[in-house]
Amino acid sequence: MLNRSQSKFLSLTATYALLATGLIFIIFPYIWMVLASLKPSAEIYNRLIPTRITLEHYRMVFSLGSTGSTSPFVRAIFNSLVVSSITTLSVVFFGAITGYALARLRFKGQNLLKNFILFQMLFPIVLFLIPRFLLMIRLGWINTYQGMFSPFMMSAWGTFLFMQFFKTVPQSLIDAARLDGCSELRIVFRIMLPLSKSVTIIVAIFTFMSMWDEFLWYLIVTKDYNLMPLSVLLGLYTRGEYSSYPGIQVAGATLLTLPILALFYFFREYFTKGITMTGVKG
Amino acid sequence: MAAIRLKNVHKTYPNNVLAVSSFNLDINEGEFLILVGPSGCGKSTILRLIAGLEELTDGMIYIGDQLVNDVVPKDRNIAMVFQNYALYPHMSVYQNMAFGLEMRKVPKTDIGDRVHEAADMLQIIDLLDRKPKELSGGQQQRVALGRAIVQKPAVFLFDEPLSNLDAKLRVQMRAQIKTLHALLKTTIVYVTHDQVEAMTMGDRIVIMHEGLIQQIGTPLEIYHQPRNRFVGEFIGSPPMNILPVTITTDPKPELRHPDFVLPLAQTSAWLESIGSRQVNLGIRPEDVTLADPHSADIHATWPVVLIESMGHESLVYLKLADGDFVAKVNDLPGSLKEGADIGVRFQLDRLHLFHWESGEVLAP
Ligand SMILES: Nc1ncnc2c1ncn2[C@@H]1O[C@H](COP(=O)(O)OP(=O)(O)OP(=O)(O)O)[C@@H](O)[C@H]1O
Ligand SMILES: [Mg+2]
Repeated sequence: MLNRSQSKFLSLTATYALLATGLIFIIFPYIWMVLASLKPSAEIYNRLIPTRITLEHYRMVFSLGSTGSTSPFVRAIFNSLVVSSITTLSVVFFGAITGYALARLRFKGQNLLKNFILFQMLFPIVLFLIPRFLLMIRLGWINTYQGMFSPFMMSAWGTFLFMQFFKTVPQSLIDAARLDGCSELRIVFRIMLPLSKSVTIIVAIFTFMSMWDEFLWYLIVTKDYNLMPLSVLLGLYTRGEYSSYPGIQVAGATLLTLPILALFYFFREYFTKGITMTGVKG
Repeated sequence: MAAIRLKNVHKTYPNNVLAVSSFNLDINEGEFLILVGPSGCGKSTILRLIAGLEELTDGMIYIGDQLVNDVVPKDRNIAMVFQNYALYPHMSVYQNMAFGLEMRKVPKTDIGDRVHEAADMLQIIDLLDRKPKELSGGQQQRVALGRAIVQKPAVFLFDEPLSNLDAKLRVQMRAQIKTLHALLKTTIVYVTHDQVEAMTMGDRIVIMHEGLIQQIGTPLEIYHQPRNRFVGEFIGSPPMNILPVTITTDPKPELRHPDFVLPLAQTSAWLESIGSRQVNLGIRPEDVTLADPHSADIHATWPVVLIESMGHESLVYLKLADGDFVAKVNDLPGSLKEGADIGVRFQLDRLHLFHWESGEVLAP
């Protein structure tokens, strides 16, 4: 028989062993990618630890296809930033006002609308790809920024999160603001949002991340190199003339992850909060 | 300062709860009016209707000469103080007080002056830079008051503003609010369920029960001439003793209880008008005296269950065959002790008779 501390030790060891194995599986591809981006081309597939560190792939990435002063890679970063930022602002804006209306106002059809939003969260995005694409063609929005971000401007998930949080704000605060002369819109932006800092940050970073990583939709609506976001540009590197240069692919992919790592570093407490609050997302 | 007039006000909430009905009340300019009643009787609803935070189901509300039924809260020239203070947690004390003025586009320098003036009055100058969560309950309460004062409204609405404070602070704030009223002379509607606040603070009291006004009057009127059994029992602590008695006219008008008989001064015509032999007799605990059981002029003799002495006065709990009786007395007779009998003498000019069914007072 094992005594108490022995069995505790065993179970702890087992737990850590399991977690460590899991961690290796998750983190190994990333480490491999970062290392690969720093290796000479010849070593990428046949050594894990490079014999020397080189930045040649990174230099390649930035100079690739450059005409004069603009590099397509920098241009793609800019495009990704524009589309992700606009979407983030928009999701927060619409999520907050809709969440407020659903949580704190009374109007006809409120429950129907609430259920519709929940209902909509159940469908996989892929279902909407074709109809959306057809819509974009009709609108003439293929190869435009708005074509890229417009389907994501409102998020059922974000709205739901704001709604749930706004329900917990005491009614008297809203009453006080109304007496102080706030319009409903002011109440949302001067009272509710500042009180919901964590929710707002969570909605913002998760939205930003998912837009930064988005690939399929961008691929469908952009053909123009000037408007192409980073994820799509990198996708191109895996095909055609560049497919025999794995170094460019891994260096580009490493760069793609940097903003997300930075976000994670600065807002790490909100990541854990966000995941516990919402279930896994992003 | 403004008068407030509620005419035939009804409020039914969306879930079909009838919160107030047939509510008629004229509040005078500069009056300090208390709304009191048990939980759920509709006090807050009335305040929120006056503030415009809820919509009337029926009726009319005037503030000053203006019918405000369709006026939004911010244009009603009122300020409200909430039970939980409702300070904006993300703003400093200064910002909390200034916010309403900013929304009304008061010039910046005026805002500064008004906030400092109010903060001075309430002795919270030193707290202006703090956030609400860095304040004690009493300080938060004063900030909430300050936020109302800087608006210079025509009407203050208070919804149980002191109920979250400890007893000592409550006494202080009570005095402070009364001082403020004397100074500003703003009309105040003040909701409470604290008897002491009701009795000591207001010019008039409105007693409510289940959405209906039970009585409107000065504190002394309410105390000495309760219009019905509910008011009699609600105001006064401990509450009025209620004893079922029968009226007899033969051989002379008397009130009969198994343990005592009291003479009745009323005429037989009055007795006929009641139409019932059974009535409830109301006697306040302070309207009796205790004496030795063998004294000559006592009305009843009952055993003592418990004596609670509070120094200047004592509560004596007596056991009756069909209930309890509480006496509140200053002088304790020498023979008083728990378990022994004591004689009780009623103050005959302080008796209240209530109709057996309706509970209405039977005025002589
Ligand atoms: N927003 C609401 N929706 C539905 N019913 C409500 C609402 N607010 C109050 N009520 C109901 O209306 C009645 C009166 O409520 P109100 O808040 O006015 O009582 P109150 O006298 O202020 O009570 P308390 O002393 O507990 O604060 C209660 O039965 C309450 O349940
Ligand atoms: Mg209330």
